[in-house]
Amino acid sequence: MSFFIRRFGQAIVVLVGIVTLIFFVLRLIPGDPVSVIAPTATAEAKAQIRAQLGLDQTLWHQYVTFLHNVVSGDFGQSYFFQGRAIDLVSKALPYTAALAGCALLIALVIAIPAGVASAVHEDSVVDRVILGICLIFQSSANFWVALLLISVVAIRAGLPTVGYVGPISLVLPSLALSLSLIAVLTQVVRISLIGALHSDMAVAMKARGLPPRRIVLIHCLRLSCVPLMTVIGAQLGYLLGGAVIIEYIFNYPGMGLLTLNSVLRRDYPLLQIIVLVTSLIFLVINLIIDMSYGLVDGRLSAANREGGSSIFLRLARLAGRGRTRREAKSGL
Amino acid sequence: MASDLTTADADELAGALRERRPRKIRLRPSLVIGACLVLASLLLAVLGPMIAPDAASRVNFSAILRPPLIGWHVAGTDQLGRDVLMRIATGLRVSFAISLSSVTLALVVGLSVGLISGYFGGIIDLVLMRLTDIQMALPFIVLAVAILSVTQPGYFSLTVVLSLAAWPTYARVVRGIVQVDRNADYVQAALAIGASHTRVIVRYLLRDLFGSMLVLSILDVAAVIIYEATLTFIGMGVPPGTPSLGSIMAEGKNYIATAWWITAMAGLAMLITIAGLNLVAIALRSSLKEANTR
Amino acid sequence: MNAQPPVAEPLLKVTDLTVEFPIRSRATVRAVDRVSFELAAGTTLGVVGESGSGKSVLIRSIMRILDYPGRISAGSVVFRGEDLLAKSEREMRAIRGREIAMIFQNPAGSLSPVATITSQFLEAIRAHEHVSRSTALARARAALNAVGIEAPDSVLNKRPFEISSGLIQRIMIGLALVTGPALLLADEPTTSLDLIVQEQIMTTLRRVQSEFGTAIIFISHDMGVVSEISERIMVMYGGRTVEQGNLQEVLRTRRHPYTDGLIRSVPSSVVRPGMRLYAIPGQPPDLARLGKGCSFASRCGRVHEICRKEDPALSSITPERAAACHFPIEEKESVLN
Repeated sequence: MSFFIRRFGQAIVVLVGIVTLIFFVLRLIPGDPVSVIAPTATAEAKAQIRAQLGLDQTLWHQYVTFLHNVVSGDFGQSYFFQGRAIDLVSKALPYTAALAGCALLIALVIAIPAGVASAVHEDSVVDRVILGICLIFQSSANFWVALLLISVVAIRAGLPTVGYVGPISLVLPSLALSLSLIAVLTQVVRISLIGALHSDMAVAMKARGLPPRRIVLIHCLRLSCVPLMTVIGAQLGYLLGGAVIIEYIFNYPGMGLLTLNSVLRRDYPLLQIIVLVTSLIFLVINLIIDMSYGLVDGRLSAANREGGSSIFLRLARLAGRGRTRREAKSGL
Repeated sequence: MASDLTTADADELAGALRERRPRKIRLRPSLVIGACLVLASLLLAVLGPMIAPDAASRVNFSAILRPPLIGWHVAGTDQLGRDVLMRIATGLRVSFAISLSSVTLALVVGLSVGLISGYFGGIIDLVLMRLTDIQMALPFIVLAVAILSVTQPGYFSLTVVLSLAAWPTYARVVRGIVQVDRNADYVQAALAIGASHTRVIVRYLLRDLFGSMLVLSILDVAAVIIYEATLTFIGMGVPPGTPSLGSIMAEGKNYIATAWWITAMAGLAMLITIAGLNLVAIALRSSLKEANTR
Repeated sequence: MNAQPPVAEPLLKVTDLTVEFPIRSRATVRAVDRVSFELAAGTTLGVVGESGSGKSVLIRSIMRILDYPGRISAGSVVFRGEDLLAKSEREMRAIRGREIAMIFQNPAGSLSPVATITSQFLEAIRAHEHVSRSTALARARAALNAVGIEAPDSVLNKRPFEISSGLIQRIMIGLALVTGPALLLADEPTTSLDLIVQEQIMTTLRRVQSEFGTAIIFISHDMGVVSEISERIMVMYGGRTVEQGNLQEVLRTRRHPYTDGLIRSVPSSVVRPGMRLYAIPGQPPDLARLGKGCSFASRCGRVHEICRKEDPALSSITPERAAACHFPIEEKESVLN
């Protein structure tokens, strides 16, 4: 338990660091938000607005006020839009979550069978074709794919390309977002499965007369769960970054679009909140993944990891412990 | 006395302690294919504008929106009658130039940070790694857009921002390798007979890092090309006026239903380039791993 | 007149088994070269040899779980009257884990690290028979008892990483025996264990011999360990059989120089100051470059010209005893101790 509390503490530190960084970066560079909000106002009016928004205080004072507000739950008003910043965020968040979730689902549904097929037929035509497709997916810019989807599919299949009219609006954007993810996840499954298939365990199970389907799908695949989870955690950043562009193209009302707009309009409070919320979500999800390792693979439960060493070190050690037959074969 | 030994002696001793493995890099078919793709792209980028210097900007209202393979225009023409292939060639030039410079910058910064962090450890390590943590926690596009929105538009700021994408990865990888190597026997021996820290770093550690850094930089060039195109696409990258892959696709976006080739061809060119780079990097990585575990 | 009891058909009869591996330069390596032996039911054959002698490949070929590039290119493996090499994969699956079982050098590596012992036992049993869960569990408990685990329930609910390696090795033996196989193939089961645990395993195996009457093929590079438990012994070198016979006879009267070297290399318990440990000079052969002649020629202290030119065939000295040498050692007493 203390292990997770420690992790959480570390996460908070990072979170504070991020928000502080954004706060100062935004304010130290040239660019006056007041001019963006009210470009035609007189100098007096501008000064008034500035005072209202607290922008006439010293930077340090602003920071302290900001921290104070955050702690007491007041995240400020958006400069540009009417309404509290937090409301805007909470409205947009579910859309992006749905988009990311959909993309992840599509990716898993395709990547797992593809990875299995690839690994089982290692070095065959099937394997090379799948790897080739992965390469193409990984090398395509997701906004280009989105544009192609719009021009080729949407018009013919009548799928919506703008805004949100219902769950069907998710189809094209999540498809575009999922491509890169499919490529990465397929390769993760493939590599871990190949390792498992060549391991002592697989030979011993074959020697016990277990049906091959069982060996591959139940035992070996289970060992892929941990690397998959790790990689998914690492890809969250990609998902959100990609969402920004995809949402821009499809005019999809999610966090990505909100972020883009708030940056362009120098809407500091909104931007701060977005960064805070985004980082918080990342950290929470990664923490959840961390905790779930123990469920999937008993060796990685919290009790075993008290040593505090990083999950990657542990995984590497585990991988090294089981001598694969390839290594043993070097003494053929 | 340790000081009596010359640096040449130190080198020799360290070399003797260190296992010298001959490095034979196997030529794989994927390496060759990838290299060909990249070469094709480079040739287009370099030779294209040399052969037809104004094709990219020559406006021809009598030949607007021509589909590919009609007349001379292999990839068709855009809404102003300009040859799409030549515009792509120019765009590729820009992409290569920007990505190469930003990767170089990222490499220098990341390498230094990683070396210092891994070698000296302690509080420096802690602080620097926290810094990378913070940056890696943010999705790059968001960070890039945020910074670019407030800086002077231009190549310099774009290059600097793009280099932010990669430096944490370099720093972390370098740090990892350095931490392991620092405790290796041959390094300890060299230090024990008086080699200075800088010498150790430069002569021994850098050699081990070379392979991984090469692979990472190639992957990085690919990633930066995509990032640059993305940023330009939403208007935050290369300033308007110079064709860039991203801007071509942005212009083509308006004609996507009818003149699909503008966007499609630009993206295809990018796809070929990136795929080639990725292939080379993957092939190199496998060959290097093989050579090292021989 | 003494009537001899009729000689029963051997449980396993391997004839001229040859296994090849292709290597990059289009040549092939013969990991197992024309090996022949018989194994009577309930007896134990020890197979001794250095790494690379082909012993592991041999037993994996018997069970046909050889990894892809290797192929069985010649010979026959007759088990209970049927040639295993002629069977389909499906038929082999029915035999593996049921009539022929195998235990490995790396015990924890033979089990799924994340599944409970119970589930792995149930899986092994149910792969071959439809029995109820309670029946299968009872059998699992009985098997664990048989290998000396007094309180089977204490390990059944654990996962392999929570159990010590000695215990895991015994669990593996139990897992192999739970379906009642007639033949147990043991691939260096004690090599990665410390001496105390090694002794436990050997005791367990002796129990298997006496209580279950299972035939065993025991492979090791350790002549000492093999001698503890085998009735007959086969010495392999470079993929070939160089000597074969009853254990006591081979230990006493070594015919092949390699066997002689192996036995002399076993450290004795009598240590005199200045005494050097005997080691066979030279390196094991590179199987890719075996030329004509005896594969042991370069390391043999008794080598003659003909040894380098002609490959000595395995020739019978007595019906039960064979050696592959042009100049087998004459009968002489052991020089040990």
